[in-house]
Amino acid sequence: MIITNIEQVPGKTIAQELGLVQGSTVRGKHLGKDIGAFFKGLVGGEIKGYSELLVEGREEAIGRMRAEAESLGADAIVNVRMTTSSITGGAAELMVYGTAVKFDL
Amino acid sequence: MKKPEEVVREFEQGMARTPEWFQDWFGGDTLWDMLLSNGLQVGGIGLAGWLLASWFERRHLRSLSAREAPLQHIRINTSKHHASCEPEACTLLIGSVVVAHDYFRTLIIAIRRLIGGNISPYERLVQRGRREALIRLKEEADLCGVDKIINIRFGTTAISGRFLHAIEMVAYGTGIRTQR
Repeated sequence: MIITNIEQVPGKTIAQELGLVQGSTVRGKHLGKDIGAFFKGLVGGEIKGYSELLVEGREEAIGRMRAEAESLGADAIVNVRMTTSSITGGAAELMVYGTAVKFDL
Repeated sequence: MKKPEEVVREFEQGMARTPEWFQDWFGGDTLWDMLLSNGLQVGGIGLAGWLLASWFERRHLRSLSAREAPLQHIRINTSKHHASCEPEACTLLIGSVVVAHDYFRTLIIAIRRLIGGNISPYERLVQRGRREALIRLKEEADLCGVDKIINIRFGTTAISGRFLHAIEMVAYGTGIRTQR
């Protein structure tokens, strides 16, 4: 499955639009990571625990979007956008959405 | 509602029950005495954190410049149009990082915000974070073997942890291969 954030896939013609597909996840880290983040906050800089959290969350969200597109029988997802929002302390919602399309044969 | 004198008396009674080393270090005969003597220690910890943070910042900036140099061949633009390329190499790329300030600087910023205007510590932090996110994006592009990233988008989100507030920078775009 090809995923892009432009409106088409270079070198392919889009035959059919299958509509919106999306994937989202709300993830949190265990308390230990939060305590680690607290101590990292003494000196500032990158908070590795939270970076990891968001990278994993985004992978999960993309995986769910991909699964939805596959169930529609799509060849690619184009024009993908992403949003992140902080839901509550130590948890974030990651959402990705795009348009599932089918190629010309 | 308790009277302030009662709060002070209860606090002093509580302090009297703590071990001796604790009283030696943080102690004082009265609450006011204690606050005065501890001002120096708390300030010292804050200052040490600030100095360490500045050192970490300089180190991070050095590592950023070192990692930017070998990734120069990857071109980036914001346009959706593209030259001819191979469709199978076309892929979505993401680079992201979460950064935060040290607590001492957060305090300085809180004071600085009373006046308004540019908050330079935050400006430096977001710029540093965005450079890091961009480098991670380029590193991923390098791993996937693509040499151009088109339609790049940036996002910034405030993330609240259980104990600290941080900022997430994300950069994403479509990687394409323009030559073999």
